[in-house]
Amino acid sequence: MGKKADKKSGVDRRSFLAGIATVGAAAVAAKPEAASAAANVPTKVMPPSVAVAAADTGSPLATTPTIDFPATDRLHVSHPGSDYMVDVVRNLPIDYIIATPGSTFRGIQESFINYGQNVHPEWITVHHEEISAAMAHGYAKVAGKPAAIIVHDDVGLQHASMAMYNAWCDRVGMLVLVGNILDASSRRPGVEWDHTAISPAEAVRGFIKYDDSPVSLDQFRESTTRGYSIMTTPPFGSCLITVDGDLAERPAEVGPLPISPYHPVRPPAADANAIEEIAKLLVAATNPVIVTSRLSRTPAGPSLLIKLAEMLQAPVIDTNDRVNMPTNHYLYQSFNRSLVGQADFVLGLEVSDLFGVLGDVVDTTIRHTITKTKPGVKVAEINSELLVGSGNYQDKQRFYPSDIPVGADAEVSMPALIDAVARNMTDARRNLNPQRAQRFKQMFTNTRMASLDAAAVGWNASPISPARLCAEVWNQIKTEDWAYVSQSTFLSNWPQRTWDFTKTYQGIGVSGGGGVGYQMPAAVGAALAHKGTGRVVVNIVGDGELLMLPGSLWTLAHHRIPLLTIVHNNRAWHQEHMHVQRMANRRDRDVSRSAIGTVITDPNVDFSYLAKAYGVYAEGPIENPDQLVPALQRAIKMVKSGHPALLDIVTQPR
Amino acid sequence: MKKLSTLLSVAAAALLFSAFVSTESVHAQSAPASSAGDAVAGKTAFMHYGCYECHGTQGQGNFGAGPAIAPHPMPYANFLTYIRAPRGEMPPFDDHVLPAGDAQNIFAYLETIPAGQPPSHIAALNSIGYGTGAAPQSSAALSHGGEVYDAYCLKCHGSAPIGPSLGNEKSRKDLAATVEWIKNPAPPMPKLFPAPLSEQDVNDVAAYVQTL
Repeated sequence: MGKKADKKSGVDRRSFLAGIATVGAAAVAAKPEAASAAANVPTKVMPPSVAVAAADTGSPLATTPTIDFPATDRLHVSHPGSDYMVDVVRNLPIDYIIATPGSTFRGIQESFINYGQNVHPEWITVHHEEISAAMAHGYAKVAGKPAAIIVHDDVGLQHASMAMYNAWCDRVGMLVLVGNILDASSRRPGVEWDHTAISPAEAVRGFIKYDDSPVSLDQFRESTTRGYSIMTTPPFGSCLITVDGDLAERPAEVGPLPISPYHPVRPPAADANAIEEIAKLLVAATNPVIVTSRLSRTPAGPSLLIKLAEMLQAPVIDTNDRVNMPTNHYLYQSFNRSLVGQADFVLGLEVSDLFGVLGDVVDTTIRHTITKTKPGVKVAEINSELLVGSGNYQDKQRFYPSDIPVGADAEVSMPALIDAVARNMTDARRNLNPQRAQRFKQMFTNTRMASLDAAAVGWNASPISPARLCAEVWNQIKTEDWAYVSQSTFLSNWPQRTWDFTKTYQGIGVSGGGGVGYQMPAAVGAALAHKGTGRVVVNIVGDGELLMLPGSLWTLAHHRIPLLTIVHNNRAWHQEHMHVQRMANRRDRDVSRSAIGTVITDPNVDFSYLAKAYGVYAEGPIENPDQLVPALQRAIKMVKSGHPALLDIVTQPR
Repeated sequence: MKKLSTLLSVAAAALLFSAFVSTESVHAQSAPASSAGDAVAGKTAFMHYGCYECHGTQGQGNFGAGPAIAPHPMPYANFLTYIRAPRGEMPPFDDHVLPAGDAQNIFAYLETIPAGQPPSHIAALNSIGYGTGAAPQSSAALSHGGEVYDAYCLKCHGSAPIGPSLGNEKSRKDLAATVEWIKNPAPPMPKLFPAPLSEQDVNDVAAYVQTL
């Protein structure tokens, strides 16, 4: 949109632009003089983009380098619809768009990188659409807001789908833009048919929260903004918007409406009566226990939980899906889960699988259900999970019949709950707290002492024990501002057992859906969110995980994302090895053959060569535990200088 | 897949429970107290039969998969009984899958696995703190009691609960009652006194349990 064009239209441009310019806080400006080249403008004037508005109103953003609009003859396109689409996306708090290139979205890609000047969002290049989605998953858990990905319809979306499913199970959202060509008459023969669907979201609709296929720019604006709002309202889930190729590439001849400022939806808080009822039961309980998985949506989560737990001296069993309770607090009792068996009242706060904490189904030849709680226990939960609709996928876990189920976001409900507990607190109950505190302080110390004793066993063994690996890493990073961007399931939870997680950004929990391939790109996405903070970011990734998407390493090098990756190289899909062996045992067959199809040997993979091929500093394989510390120190030095590094450590199974 | 680790934890821990449950019947069969096997061959067998997968190559245990089975392995009779007929999620190792000789050798290997150095002697472990928890016990008796607890009690009463939690046990049993219970437990808790626990072991671990 150029000045000349607007003058022709007779619009009171200055006053109109002043309003528009305030919409996009980080808009990029178009160079005013260049815009004058747009001589052949649409007859119906399109409202100015945020970028143009910022330029014309003298916003500081106007100094940003800009683009030249081409002459508008029949060989050129001026004001393509995708420019407006970019303005819509830029109106939302999205800093990155992650993609493997695809021709169905070539129009909007060009708009992002030229018209949008490749900032807010910045284009991140990856080798596989599954990397795009997993990166967005990991990124959101650190940044506290979604990233966007863009994929080809059909093939690209199918690639992305497993990682999108992981994010769904982990209740994390991303904006998924899908290139598509809805008008059959304008598709070229061949691949454009193969890369188009009537309803693109059909392939993933069971694990996203909202989707639409806009056929106009107005609809694109409304649906993208609505989808973003729904996506970022607990419980979180992804939003998929189709980017129609024709709509993106044709001139925006029919003017869409101006873009309004975005206002986030306030999360749903618990009902006041329910809060009061729960508070009274908490105070009246002799042995209250708090269970949590995903309480922390924001950095405020841990401090709120500490306050509630300390008021009651109630132990917290944290399934570590997020950093909820600091692991160095004495009420962090995640490794004393038998405490639920003593509880007379259990409060669940955003628990991903309440049944799995309070009960179990045992994997024996004939499976059976067990209950870990004692008879008569009362259970309340404040859980946005209760607001998730059911679908084809069974990620909601087994139903637990809570006595007081409250469908609401727990974190936003915490201040009211803390106030209610304070109001209902009695002197008699308060007087019990010192004794309870002493008990849990001792229990915490005993648990850590037991962990340290266990870590000492096999300290000098080769392959290196995960206990030693984690202890040595902790010893190197504990004085730094650090973050850990891995799951610990296959590390015997050593980080949570021995490291001091105190801030929400220091952990990103688990994959959600258990889809292998998550770990490496999720760590890259999380590291992207940490970029520029100076933190030492550590990723401990299994060899089987890394082999799924090794191209993630290239993205680290290409975008200069500092991340220390440590390959927990046990040379097997170890979990599956155990599964197959279990079957052989039950059938009285040769257990040693369970290695067939489950180990990654002959040849052993050299991950240092792999990393170097992608441009990442690397060392290994390291089998001697005495070489561990010097290698860590060299790698951390590299990371602190702003580069990625990888260490290939040959380890015991888990 | 996500559930497996949790299930394995319970299953593997149940291994030990079943062993303890079976203690009386094993004693009744006069099973040998020691395997008298070949530890070197046992290490090979330990790897060949996949024991290391759940229990670690030093038998140190893997949280979420299998409990520690070394150092201080359970009595051989319990060990043998349990691997043949586990009650939890631990899969059974029948004698034609794991011949008796190999089982003896595996047990001999477990017996040779030394306890780790005290964490205080390992720089990377000594630097790990106790957060806002209680100060670590400095009493020699309590320290010894803690070691006995880790070796013999934690497997059932720890994070993979087979026996009841011993947290706040002092509200149910005082020191004397705790000593008496350890010496003469009711099934399914195994009788560990006078062997492998001595009088001093029992007194120290009872005192330690009183601090939980």
